[in-house]
Amino acid sequence: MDELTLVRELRTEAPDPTPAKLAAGRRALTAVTARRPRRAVDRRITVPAVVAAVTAVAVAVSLLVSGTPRTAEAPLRAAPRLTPAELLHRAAAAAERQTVAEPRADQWIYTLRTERNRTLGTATARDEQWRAYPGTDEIPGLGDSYSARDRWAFDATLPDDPRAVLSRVRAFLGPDNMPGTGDDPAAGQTPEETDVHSYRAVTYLICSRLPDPAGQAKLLRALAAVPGLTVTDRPVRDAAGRPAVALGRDDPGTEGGRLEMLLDPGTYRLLGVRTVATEPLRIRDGRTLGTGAVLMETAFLRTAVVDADHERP
Amino acid sequence: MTQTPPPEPAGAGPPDDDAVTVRESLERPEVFARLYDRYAAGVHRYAARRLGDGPADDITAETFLIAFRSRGRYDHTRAGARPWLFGIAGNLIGKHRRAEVRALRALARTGVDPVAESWADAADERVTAQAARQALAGALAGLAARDRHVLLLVAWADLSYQEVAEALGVPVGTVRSRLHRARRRVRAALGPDPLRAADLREATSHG
Repeated sequence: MDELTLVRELRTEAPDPTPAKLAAGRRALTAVTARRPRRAVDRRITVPAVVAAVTAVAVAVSLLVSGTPRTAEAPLRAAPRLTPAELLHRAAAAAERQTVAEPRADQWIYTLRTERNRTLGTATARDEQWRAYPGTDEIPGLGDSYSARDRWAFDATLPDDPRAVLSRVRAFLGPDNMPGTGDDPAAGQTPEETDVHSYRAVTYLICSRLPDPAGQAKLLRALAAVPGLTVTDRPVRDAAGRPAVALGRDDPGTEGGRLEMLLDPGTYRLLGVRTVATEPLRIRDGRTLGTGAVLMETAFLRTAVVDADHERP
Repeated sequence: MTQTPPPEPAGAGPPDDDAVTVRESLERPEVFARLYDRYAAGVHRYAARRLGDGPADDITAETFLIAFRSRGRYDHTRAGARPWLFGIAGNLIGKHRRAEVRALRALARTGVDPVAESWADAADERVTAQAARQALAGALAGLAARDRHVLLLVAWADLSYQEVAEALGVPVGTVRSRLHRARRRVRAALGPDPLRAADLREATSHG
């Protein structure tokens, strides 16, 4: 008898829970669902775990307005061709030039973004969020359980050496974007697994925090140390229609598409993120999205510090 | 024998409905409870099998609360929510790693399984341990946590490799290599099986 069968038989007498046992958990769930206000936005778009985890807190690099959506589309000019490392170093320099004071504990982080999920439909949704600077989700276990303040503090621990930064990031954030164990798991990973972990975790942090300028620059430079990055040949537009350069990494083992970060071709500011299909994907209404199709995308429009919940900057 | 999954509640549709349910729950949060009705029993049994009956209650409840809170990020190309939910549950179970290993070691050492005790009603329902089971428990205790997760998601939660990859957010190749490693270690701990031709060859080749 093979070992897998033996494992299957271990504790196989475990009983199914009685309805009474499950009732408490169901009550806890309905208590939360009843409390939850309905979403104000029509046709709420969702994004898959990879892209959405990146934008979960959705505070972007730039505190200044990143650009308003274009109404008339001007033709895209081809930007000078940069290597990924050159691109990221320019982005780091741009990040460092910002002056950002740490928010006070009583302040709120405001974010405005545009999202589009083509696996559901083509409509674009506008999303506004307010989050208290020290605030975390009430449910533990998500990457969101780090507050913006936690992440600001994390920045303060970052060393200069890019590889050391990657190691700290992997210890802080797991491969699944949940809080890490506090130890770099690289020793137990294959090199490719480590690179995938580094790429996703650094991208998540770059795209989802209120940045301390020095820390943000370190993260961008650290990303340049991850092998396998590519820049798309031709300029693209983000979910808000702004011209952008797409930086990405091919990750052949994972489904869900290629995660890309979009940067402004002139200022190198972070504009957004998106997932691009790496193979044809059949979506819910029976249509097929071809390789290279944008599956989900998020454009960061505005990030600001405000003094009260639901106050607009 | 592995248990068959509990019958689905009346009115539950095919797993394709899970993505629809999640999407509907964005506008109407109470709809999310359909996923509870469909999957909570399976999650509870899996958690109970790993950690015992007591922790399973909390882990089940927390799994669905976390899932609800992150439903806005559900990937709608995933027709079935089971991998997603077992991924969350697995993370919660992973936080009790020391307790899990302690119980497995106790079973290995004494033949009494603290986890099975937690759901046994009467003394005569208690399963008597055999030597193979004790060796098995010792092997499971000695696995790296990530390898044990994969092995038990396959063996106890009946997830496919692809579903395990989804649940853990890792490539399928990683799932394969972790499972391979886990099985090899378990096999080594159990010693040669006279019925396995390969083992027999190896055992006899040493004279």
